[in-house]
Amino acid sequence: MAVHWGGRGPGHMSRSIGAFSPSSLYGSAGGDYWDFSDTSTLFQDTAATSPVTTAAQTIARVNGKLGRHNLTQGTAGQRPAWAALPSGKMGAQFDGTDDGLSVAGFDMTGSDEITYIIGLRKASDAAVGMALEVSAAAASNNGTFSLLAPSSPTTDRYAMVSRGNATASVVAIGAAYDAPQTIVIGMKAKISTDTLEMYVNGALYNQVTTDQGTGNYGNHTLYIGRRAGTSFPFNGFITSLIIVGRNLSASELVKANAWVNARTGAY
Amino acid sequence: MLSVALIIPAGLRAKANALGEAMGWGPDNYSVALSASGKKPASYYGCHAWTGDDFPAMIEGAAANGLPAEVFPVEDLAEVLGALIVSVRADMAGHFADVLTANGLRMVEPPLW
Repeated sequence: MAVHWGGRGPGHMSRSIGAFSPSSLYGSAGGDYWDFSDTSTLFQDTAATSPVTTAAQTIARVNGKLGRHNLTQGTAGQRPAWAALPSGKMGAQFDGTDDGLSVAGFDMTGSDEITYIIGLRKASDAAVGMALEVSAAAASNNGTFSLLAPSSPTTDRYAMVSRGNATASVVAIGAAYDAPQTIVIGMKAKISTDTLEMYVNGALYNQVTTDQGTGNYGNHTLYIGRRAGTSFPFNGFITSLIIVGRNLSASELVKANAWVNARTGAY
Repeated sequence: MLSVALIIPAGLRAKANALGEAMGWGPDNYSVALSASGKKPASYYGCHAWTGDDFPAMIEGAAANGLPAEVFPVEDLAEVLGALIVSVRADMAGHFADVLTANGLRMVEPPLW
């Protein structure tokens, strides 16, 4: 069969930053983080009775590493597969057709600050892909955020939305961001100060000060790979994702980006 | 692992989803709205799945031998399988898009913003 899984499995994942764990970022802040290379958190069924053990198995559930929010997919035809990126790292492969994961009650109401960092490989720019989004549509609901990869088949290669009760977005444009691309990309936002920063491979890449309105982030469903589980399917891999309900410091960003990159191999 | 693209006429979507659920695949496997223009209304619904190597034999077996009536009605099974477009590949890259092109269909997406 012409299916190539690459030459390295999770046992070969580098851990270049030693003792750092994203768990240390949270305290009372909301959120969770997910490691798609950690088979102790991956399951082939939503009840978590059948673990993912080898490449090509489909993923029905990914337990949050903090134990707060477990991503699930109850429909077999909409489950991503566990597969290797060209970098050799393991991740969830979303088919760009109908794969997605979600968790209801993703409660970020305790703050108007958010930081997320995600490791991914975007396989195609042919159609809009919703890598992550809270609520059924981030620009239509209050207290939301999202990542589109891409956000346009012709121009914006990545876009991030943050919204209190007004929508702001920041984008990455240009051939440097064309698919296929393996990348660590992150967002740091604060509604009340209209802060919206995009980080690419650990460095600040773009920022805007567009009005985000008022209020904290909300308590919505978190969707991974597809808007509301129904549209704009993401085509590519996700290796790891950190979402924290506060703005990380510069030193924390370095460590968190390095942790994600150790599972992604982007830079 | 096989890449499987399945497309069913919109009028048979409910029965096809019921068949998928009866076979333990969970609800709403046919969730991708399709039409010739890429605009509403959807005339077909699609599904892309990663399956085991036994999937083609399972479909062929169901078509040849049916399923127990208590699992799924015989007449509904024949209707669904008779209309179902099935494509199986080892390589997923571009698979679903190729099947859409071959059948003159496009995905129906709502406005992004």
